[in-house]
Amino acid sequence: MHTPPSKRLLVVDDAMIMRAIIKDTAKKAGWEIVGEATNGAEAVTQFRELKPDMTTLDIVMPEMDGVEALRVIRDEDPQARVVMISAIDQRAKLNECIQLGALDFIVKPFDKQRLLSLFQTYLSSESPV
Amino acid sequence: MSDHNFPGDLPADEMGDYLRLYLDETDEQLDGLVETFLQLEHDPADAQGLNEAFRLIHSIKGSSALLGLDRITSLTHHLETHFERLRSGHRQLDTATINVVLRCIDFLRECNQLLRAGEPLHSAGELLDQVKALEHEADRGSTPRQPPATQRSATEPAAAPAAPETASGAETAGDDNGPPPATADDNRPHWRVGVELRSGLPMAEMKAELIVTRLASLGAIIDCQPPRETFAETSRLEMLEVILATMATAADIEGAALADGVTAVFAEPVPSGSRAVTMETVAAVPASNSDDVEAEEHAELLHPTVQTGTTEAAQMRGDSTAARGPALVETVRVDVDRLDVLLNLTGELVVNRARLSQLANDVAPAFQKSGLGTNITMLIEQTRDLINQLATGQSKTTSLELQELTDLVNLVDNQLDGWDRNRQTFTELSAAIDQLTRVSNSLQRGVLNTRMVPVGPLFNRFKRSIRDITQELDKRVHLEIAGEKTELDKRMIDEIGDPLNHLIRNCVDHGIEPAEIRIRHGKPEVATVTLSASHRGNNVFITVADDGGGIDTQRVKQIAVSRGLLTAEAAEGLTEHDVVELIFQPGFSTAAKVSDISGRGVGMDIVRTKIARLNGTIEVASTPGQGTTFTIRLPLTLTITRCMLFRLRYGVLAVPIENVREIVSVAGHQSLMANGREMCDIRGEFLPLVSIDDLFDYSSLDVHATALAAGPSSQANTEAHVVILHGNNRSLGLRVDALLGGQDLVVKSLDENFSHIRGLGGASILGDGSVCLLLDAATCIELAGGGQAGIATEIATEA
Repeated sequence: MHTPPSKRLLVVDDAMIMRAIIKDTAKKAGWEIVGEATNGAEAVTQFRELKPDMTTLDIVMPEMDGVEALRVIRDEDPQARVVMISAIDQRAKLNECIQLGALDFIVKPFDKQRLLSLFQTYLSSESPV
Repeated sequence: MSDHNFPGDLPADEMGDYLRLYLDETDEQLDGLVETFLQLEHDPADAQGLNEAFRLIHSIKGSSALLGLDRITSLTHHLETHFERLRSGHRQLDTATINVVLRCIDFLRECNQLLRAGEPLHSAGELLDQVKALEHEADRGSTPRQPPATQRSATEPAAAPAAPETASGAETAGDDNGPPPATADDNRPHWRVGVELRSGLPMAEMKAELIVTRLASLGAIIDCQPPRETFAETSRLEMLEVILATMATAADIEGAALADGVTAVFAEPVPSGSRAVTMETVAAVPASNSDDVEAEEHAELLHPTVQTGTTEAAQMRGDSTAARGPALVETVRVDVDRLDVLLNLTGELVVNRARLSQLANDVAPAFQKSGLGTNITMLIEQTRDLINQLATGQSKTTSLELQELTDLVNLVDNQLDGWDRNRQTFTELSAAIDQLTRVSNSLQRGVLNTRMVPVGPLFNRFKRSIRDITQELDKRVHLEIAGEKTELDKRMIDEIGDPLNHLIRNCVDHGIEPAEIRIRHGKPEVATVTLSASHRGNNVFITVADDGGGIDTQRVKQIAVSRGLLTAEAAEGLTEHDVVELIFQPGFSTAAKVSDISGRGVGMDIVRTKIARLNGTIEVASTPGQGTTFTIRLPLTLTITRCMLFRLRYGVLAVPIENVREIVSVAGHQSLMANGREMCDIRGEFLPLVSIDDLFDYSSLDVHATALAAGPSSQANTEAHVVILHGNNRSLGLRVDALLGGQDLVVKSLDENFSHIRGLGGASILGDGSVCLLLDAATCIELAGGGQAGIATEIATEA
C-alpha cells in the first residue's frame, strides 16, 4: 500500500464539544485519534503511554493546566509536538507556552476551516521544533 | 588674502571638479570626526577612536594640500602632529583638547562653506596658535605614558593608506578598524526569512513571537523587523522579516517559519559580503497584491525608508552601517541641480502623459463597438435591401439613380472597414498609453528615489549641538536618535536642519529642567532628547521629544497677554491645546530672560513658517511634568503633490490631499449663523463655512462673474458639497460647486505677480492644459478668521 500511515493525535480539552470538533476536523485532515484527555494530569499520563505524533492542548483546564502539562511533556520529550488551544485573552500564558517550545497555537473561537488547515499543515510537516 | 590658489599645473575646470569632490568628502569626514570625538570624550583612551581621528585629520590634510588650500593644510598638519602623540600614548586626550579640536572642525566647516561660495578663506591665526599650544604642552607634558606594544603595532598600518596624494584614501582606509559589528560576528550563514501572516489573524503578535522562537531554535536571530519587543504594539502585524544565522537548510528554515496562519514564507541566503545590509521592509502594511497597481506603488514607495524600529534596533542598524556602509555601496556624486532638472522634466512628462490619457478618454466613445459603426452597418444593409426591392421593373432613370445610391453605399461600406481598422489602432493606442503610464510612473519614482538621502548624517550632527548647549547651560542631556535610515528629499534635508536645530536647542533650554528639580521630581538626572524619523504613507514624520517639564500653559498665557497677542479674557477661554499653539505666534518667546541658546531671534513662528514652506506641518503636544513632543510632517518630495481637485465657478482649484479632512454634503438646515458667520454642523462639531468669495476677491476682477454669483444665503438652501480643509490643527468648511477627484500635480511656484496673494500655494497645469491654482489650506483657514479655534476665541472674548 502506498498511502502513508496516518499520524497519531492526542486531544486534550476539558470541554467535550471542543474535543469533538477537534477530533472530527483532525480525522478529516487524515489524522488518527489515539487518545483523549480532559485535564493536564491525564494528558501527561496519556502522552507517556501513547507517544502520539502530535498533541492538541487546551490552556485552561482543571487540576493541571495546559502550561504545566506542556512543561512536563516537553521536559520528558523535547521532540514533543504540541499545538496549544488558546483563548484570545491568554497572552501571558500563551507566551509561556511558546517559550516552552509549543509547536503552534490556534485561537478560540476558530472556524473549522482554519483548524483543518492547521492539521493539514502538520500532517505533512516535519518542522524541527 | 585668500589661500584659495590652485596649483598651476591643473586646468581650472578640472580643479573645480576636484574641489567639489574635496568639499563633499571633507563634509562627511568632518561629520565623522565630530562623531569620533564625542565618543572619545567618554573614553579618551579608546585606541580605535584615536586612530580614526588621526586617520580623518590626516586625510583632510592630504586632500587640502593637493588643492593648495594652505591654511587648511597647515592647521590639519599641526592637529595631526598632536594626534600622533595622542594615539601613541604620549599624551592623554583631555576636554581642553577636544574643545580646540571641535573649534577646528567648525573652522574647517566654515572654510568649506566659503569655498562653496567662492569666497576667500579666513585666517586660522588664533586657532592655529591654540593647536600649537597643545603641542607645546604636550612637549612639556607630564610623565609620558608608556605605550602598550600591541597598541602601537596595531595603529601603524591604519594610518598608512591615507597618503596625501589620494584624496579618497580615507574611504578605503577604514577597513581595518576593529572587529566587525556585533550583529554580524556569527560565522554561520545568514538567512533573510520573510513571513507573511494572514490578514486579520487573531493574536498575530503571539504568532510572530512563536515563529521567531521557532526560528531561534535553529540558530541565532540577528535582526528582526518589526523588532521583537514591539510586536504587541504593532497594529496589523502582517509581515515579519528575520535575519537568522544558522546551519539549517532553506527547507528547514521555511518549515520552522511555516506555522498555522502563515500565508507565505521565503528564506534566502544573505551574501556574506553584505551582512551589514539592514532590513528595510515594510513591517505592518497590507501585503501588496500584484494585480493592484496602486498597492504595488504604495509598497514600492514605502520600501526604501519605512522604519518601525525602536531606538535600539535603529541604533543597531546604524552601527552596522557606520562600520561597513561606505565600503560596500558604489555611488556616483551628482550635482543636485542636475537632479532637479531631471525631476522637473519627469514632472512635465507625467503631466503630458495625463493629458494624453485624457484625450484618449475623450475620443474613446467614438470608437465604441456599439456606437456609430453598428448603426452604419445597419443603415447600409437596409439601404441595400431597399435598392434590391426597388430595382425590379423600374424605369431607366430610376435604375440609374439606384445604381448611384448602390455605389455610394459601397463607398460608405469601404470607409466603415477603414473605421474598423482605426478602432483597432485606437485600442493599441490605449494600450500604448497604459504602457507609457507605467513607464512614466516608474521613471518618476526612480527619479524621486535618486534624490532621497537618509536623515542619519543630519541627525548625527545634532549630537554636537547637544554637547555644546549642555556645556553652556550645565545640563546633562542624552540625545537619542531613531530611524536615521529614513530617507528624505535632499533639498528637504538641507532646509530642515535649521528648524530642527532650533527645536532641539529649545528643548534643552526651555524644556529640560535643571538637574536639582529633575532629581526632586524623581526623574533621572540625565535628561533625554529623542530625535526620530519615520515614514508613513507619502510623508516623513520627524519628532523632537524631551522628557522635561512640559509646557507651562499658565506662563504661556501670561506671556501671550503681556506681549499683547491676545486679551486676558480671551486667554482664559482657550483650551490647553490652543494655549500650547500660542508658542507658534509671531512675537512670542517663553524664556524669562532671552538666553543665547534659543533666543537668537528665531522664534517658533519662524520654525513653523520654514516648515510650511516645505509643504510640511509642525504640531506640538505637551504633558506637564513629562515632556514636550514636536512632530514635523514633511512630504516625501516637494515637486509632486497628491491633490484634491474641485470646481468653483471661477475655475478649477486644488488642495493638497493632506489638507483635506473630509468631504461632506451640507444641507441648508445644517448650516446656521453664529456671530454673523455661517457655521455648519459636522456630526456635532461646528465649523465655519465659507465660499471662495469670502477668501479671495475674485468677483471684483470679473463683472460677469459677479452677475452670475449667487449669494451665500441662496446657496445655503440647497445641498452643497463642502470640503473640510485642515491645517495647523484647525478646520474650515469650503463650499465647492463640483468635486473632480484626486490627482498628482506637479506644483510650480507662482510668479512674482501672484506670490503676494495670501492663500495660494502654487499652480499646476492639468491634463487638459488648463492652469489650476493650489490653495494653501493653513492660510485660507487663517483668512477665514482662524477657523474653529479662532472662532472659539472670539466667542470667548464676547462672553
